[in-house]
Amino acid sequence: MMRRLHLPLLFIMSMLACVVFLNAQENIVQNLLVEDVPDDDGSGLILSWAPLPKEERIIEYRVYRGLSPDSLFFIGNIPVNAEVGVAAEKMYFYDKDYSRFLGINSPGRLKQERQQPEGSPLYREIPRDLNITGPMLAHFRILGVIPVDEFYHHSTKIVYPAEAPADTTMEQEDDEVWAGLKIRQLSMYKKLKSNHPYWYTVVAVNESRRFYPHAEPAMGIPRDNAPELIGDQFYAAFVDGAEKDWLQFEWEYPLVQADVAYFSVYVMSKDDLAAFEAFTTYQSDYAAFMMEALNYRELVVAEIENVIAVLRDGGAVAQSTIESLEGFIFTTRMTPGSRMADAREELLAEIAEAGPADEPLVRPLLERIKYSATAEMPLLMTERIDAGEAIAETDFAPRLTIVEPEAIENPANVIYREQRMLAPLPPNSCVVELDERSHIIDTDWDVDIALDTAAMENYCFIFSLYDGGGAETFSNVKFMYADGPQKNILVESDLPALPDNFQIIDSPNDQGDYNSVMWGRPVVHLTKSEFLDDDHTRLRVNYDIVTNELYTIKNVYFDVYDNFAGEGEPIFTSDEFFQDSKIIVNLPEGTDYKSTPLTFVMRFRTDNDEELGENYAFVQNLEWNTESRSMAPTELIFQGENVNDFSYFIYNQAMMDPQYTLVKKTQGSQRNLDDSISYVENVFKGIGRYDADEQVVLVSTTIDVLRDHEYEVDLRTDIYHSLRDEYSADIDEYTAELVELRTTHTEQLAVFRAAAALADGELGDLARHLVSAEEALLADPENKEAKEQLTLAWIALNNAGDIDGQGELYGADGQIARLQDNLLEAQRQLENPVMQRSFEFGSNKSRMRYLMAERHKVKRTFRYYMVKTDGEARFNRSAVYVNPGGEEWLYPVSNWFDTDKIVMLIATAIFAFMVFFMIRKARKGHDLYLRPIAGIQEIDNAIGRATEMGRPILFVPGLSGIGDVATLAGLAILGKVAKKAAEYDTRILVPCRDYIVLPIAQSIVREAHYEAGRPDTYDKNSVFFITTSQFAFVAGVNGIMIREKTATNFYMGMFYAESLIMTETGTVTGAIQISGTDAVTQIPFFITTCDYTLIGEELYAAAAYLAREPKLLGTLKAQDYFKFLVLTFIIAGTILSSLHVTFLINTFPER
Amino acid sequence: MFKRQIPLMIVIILGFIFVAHSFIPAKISQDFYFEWYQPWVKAMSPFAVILGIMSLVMVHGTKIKRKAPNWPYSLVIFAGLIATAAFGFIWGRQAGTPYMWMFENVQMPLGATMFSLLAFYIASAAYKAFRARSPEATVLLIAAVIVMLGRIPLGAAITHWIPDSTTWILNVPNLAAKRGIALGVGLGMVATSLKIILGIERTYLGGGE
Repeated sequence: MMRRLHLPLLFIMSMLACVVFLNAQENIVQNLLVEDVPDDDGSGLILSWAPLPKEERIIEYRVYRGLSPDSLFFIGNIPVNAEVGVAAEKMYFYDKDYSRFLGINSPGRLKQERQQPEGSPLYREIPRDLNITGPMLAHFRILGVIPVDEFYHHSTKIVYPAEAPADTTMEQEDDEVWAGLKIRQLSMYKKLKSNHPYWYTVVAVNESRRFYPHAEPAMGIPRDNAPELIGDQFYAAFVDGAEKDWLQFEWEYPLVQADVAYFSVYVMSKDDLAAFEAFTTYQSDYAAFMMEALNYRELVVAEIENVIAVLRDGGAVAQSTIESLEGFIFTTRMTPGSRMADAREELLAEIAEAGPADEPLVRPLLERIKYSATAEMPLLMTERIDAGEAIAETDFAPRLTIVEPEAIENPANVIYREQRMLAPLPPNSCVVELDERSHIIDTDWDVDIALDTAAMENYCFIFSLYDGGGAETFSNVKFMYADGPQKNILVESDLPALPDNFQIIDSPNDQGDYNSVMWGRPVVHLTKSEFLDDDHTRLRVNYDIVTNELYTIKNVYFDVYDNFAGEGEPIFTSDEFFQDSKIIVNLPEGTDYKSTPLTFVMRFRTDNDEELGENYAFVQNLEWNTESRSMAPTELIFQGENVNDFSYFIYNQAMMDPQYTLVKKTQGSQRNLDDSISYVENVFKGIGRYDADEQVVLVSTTIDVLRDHEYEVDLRTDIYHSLRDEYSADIDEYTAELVELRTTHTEQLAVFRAAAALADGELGDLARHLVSAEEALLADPENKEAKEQLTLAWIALNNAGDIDGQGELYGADGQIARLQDNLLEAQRQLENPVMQRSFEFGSNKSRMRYLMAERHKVKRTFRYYMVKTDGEARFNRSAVYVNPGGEEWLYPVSNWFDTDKIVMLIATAIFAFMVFFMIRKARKGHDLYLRPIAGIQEIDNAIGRATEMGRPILFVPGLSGIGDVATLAGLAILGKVAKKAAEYDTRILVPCRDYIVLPIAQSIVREAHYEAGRPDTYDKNSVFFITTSQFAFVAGVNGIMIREKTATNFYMGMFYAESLIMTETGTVTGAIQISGTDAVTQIPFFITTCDYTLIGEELYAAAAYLAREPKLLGTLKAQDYFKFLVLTFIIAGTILSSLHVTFLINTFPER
Repeated sequence: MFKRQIPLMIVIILGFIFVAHSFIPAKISQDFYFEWYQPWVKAMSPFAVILGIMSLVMVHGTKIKRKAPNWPYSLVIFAGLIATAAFGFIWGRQAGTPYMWMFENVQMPLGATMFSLLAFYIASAAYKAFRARSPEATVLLIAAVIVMLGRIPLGAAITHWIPDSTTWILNVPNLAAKRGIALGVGLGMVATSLKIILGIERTYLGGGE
């Protein structure tokens, strides 16, 4: 016996040895590289590595990130098909934008990654334990997404009392108040921080889920790059208007746009092109200089790491080395008394005390230096190098001297600038108006530029994107042309005409989450065509109608011409009274469609014909396409204009937002769109702090409530109390400061007035004009016009020159303006009616409920405008839409009835009435005739047969769940069958696929036995669960049929592909089979293989047939009458629509 | 009494609420369905699994206890049940785990085997259906031959009438019959739902009255 086992055992052992050998191979990912994502805001890194060979059968690469190579957490994976492997030479993983950081799904505690040796730096995901995760928060930009209810009502108020001032003369600071949230209450998303080092590694996992050792961790630092180039995607146009002139600009935004902060348009003379090129060269040189400076810093950081490594390995480092590294961060610019200088002294003392070889003490200090170097240094570095100081003068030895390139001024002047205020980008076009003197004035950006409108060709324009990090990227220069294909010096009539009927309505029949935007009149266009015969005389042409709720299309008329010249007799006409999106065109014999296009002239009849007019016709050709060998539609022409040459841009602005944003760009043939207005579900908050004791993250307690559009002020509140007292205190403070400032200002104005009186020429005139503007504003400080005049006066004077007292007065004016803005903002916070109403609430909960209802309403209230454009600055912009009620701010309301379902409601009501009526009739003893159904009548016989044969009955109540009505119908039949079986003392087997159906079926069979007076014969195990797997269930049922030799099989309910497998097996075992299903695809199988089949509705009728109860029979009869009613409508609809009367079929919804 | 009345009341009340839900698009109605009903269904489903497992244990436990015919197969069921659950709990369900290995190498091939039997059963059923023993069966046979030929290139090669007739058979008589059945099914569903909501049909509660 044992000898016979030798060979198999040997085989098994050798196989095991192979497996062990293969697993022992260490497949480490090679060439791991971490690089900066170009053109971004400094929050992205790209990982790349060489994938392992296909033979290794890798199923995933797991990526880990950490703040040091010592602790790396799982952040994501790239699944790989083990069969095909990775064909590319490199694999990439992007760690950029906001991605998941921590949430309810994160592990509760720190867990080492699987299959890792002792001391491995790899961990599973970042845990919810804030003792571990909390310190990491400072190293990322964290965004908390907090469900509104959690933030408003379930956050914990965390108060950190302010320390008592050391000196009694010092002012007591306020307590710090935060809203604390448990990790389970929010989701946290992270972005990497610019100029911060992050470490990564990658682990390959094979198909046996063996984790190979990790790659050597690699470090990367995300850099804030200049915005992406937009090249030629900028267009300019000058419009010579009837009343005034203006400039129009349009551009395409780049793909990467995360930190674009400003959009600007510059103008310059063509003569300045060379100077502008020199400026852009300087720009690139400066960017290179900055990059070199940052790289230098990295060298020092690497040196610190080397020192740490030496210390870690037990080596000694000279004290001077450590001090030189320390000197890198603390420069001589740190004045005594500053916090940085104090920290430096403290650090020096600690280093001196620790000694160079004392690793446990020195290493944390070096880590601190390293962190300071990476987090703080860029600014210090730049500052020192900018100042041109010799590095040798500082307290550490120079490693590198970097020279800043000499600055060159941009010769182009800004004429338009807009700040990006929201994450979605603002409109990609702008209009810059010229005043009657042909000046461009913008007081917000100190713009006052004069243009010679008679010689616009001498100018050129440039567009720029300016990012948060101070880098600016320019488009290509755009020149002006008075004629030719690039003509962009236009007159008003060159601009596209805006469509009529631009309207916005609250979408009907929704939960208040859509606004319908509509414009223009209906459009019809051809989509495709196909010849239906070999002679090519019958052509099926598909068309599409685009309309909106303002028009109901009654007829579409098609006139088809060959050799169309604007008139003549059509070769074919069609009246589409029922629009089924296709017409069959019968072409006369000999039509030369290949050389002459077929021209379709398409008109409408609508419920508003007067408005459309007779000339409202679209023209489109079908041309023979030699490649596809079919008639293809060409451009759609309406009144000489190619409809799709233009696009529509719809913009909206939420009442809470300071800017318009794009809703959607649509084709020229579109006529409506639905703007999704989602409900406010979350609050977004930046997170940087946490409380380890309470295990909560801390977020600011204030929240925006409303926006005052008149004064452009956001109104805010605190979730724990109203801010009335704080704002009152602010008003007092600002008022006092303003009084003080105005005194100084009066003195400075007097000095300036004296100097202005003495000044000559233009400078003197401008200075005296400024004085009068100052005096006008002093007379009425609230006068907006006076403020604007003063700003313009300052622009002109600052451009012209400098006289005594000018700088001081300008500074004082700026300070006063800022204080006034602050004062105004504080006043608006208290004077707004909603805020005032909120002050009246006694409880904070009621106050918050009121304010948040207002907040959510304001966040969902929008105004709209549209732009029709050719995409190259030839556009026309509509006014902001104002509804017939005079409102421009539109709020979608939640509807209480879906009017599309009115027919359904009426039908249901009629049916319910019929049911009641028929039940009542049946109860009164009327004999209700029901047509015989063979399958149902045979049920009794089938049960009798099983009884006679002494074999069990099999009843399968379908494969779907209890939510399916067919299952309920099947269970109703089960009750009747089980009762009959109990009466005959025949065993019934009920296999179930759904575990919720199981207890119900058990209960039904048990009750049936009780009703039959045979509770003793009930066997709970005769109703049993097999499996939820479809084909495993079939295998189980088939096994039962064969083993138990069931005499009768019932299949009642919902069935899928398995139906035939079951019933064929039943046929083989010789059972009588009765089936019933509403699955249309399975009915043919049942009919073929079963003795009797209940088709569709018969399944639902079976229980009533068997029970013969008046209530149930009444519903059956009502069903029959209702079917008759439906049939009547079908016949009437068919006849009427054949006679071009379509009201009846249009009354019923399509779905 | 309460054993029947309370579930009946729940069904009637919820039934009317769901009818109302289908006509009311308001936010409160949508929240009821998506924020209340669906999470509850999701939360309840795992508990229902216990019922299925209990049934399995009882049926097969009894078989083993009584040494019923083929009782060792019940042991295999228990072994499969325990092993699958254990593999899933211990090593998870990702690719490469024992659980997925069992799924890919046992469950899937066995399921595919059962499914592939369908091809033979369809041939057998077709043979039975197409025997021209009556005028109706003859019509069925002719229609089937046309449809089958129309679905393969040979049909179009013989004459374009075959694919055209196929399209007509599928789009006109076949579709009309399907729609007729769908109409009846729809009404049957509404009637059954109405009977349940109004408490006329109570079998689902485990019995008649």
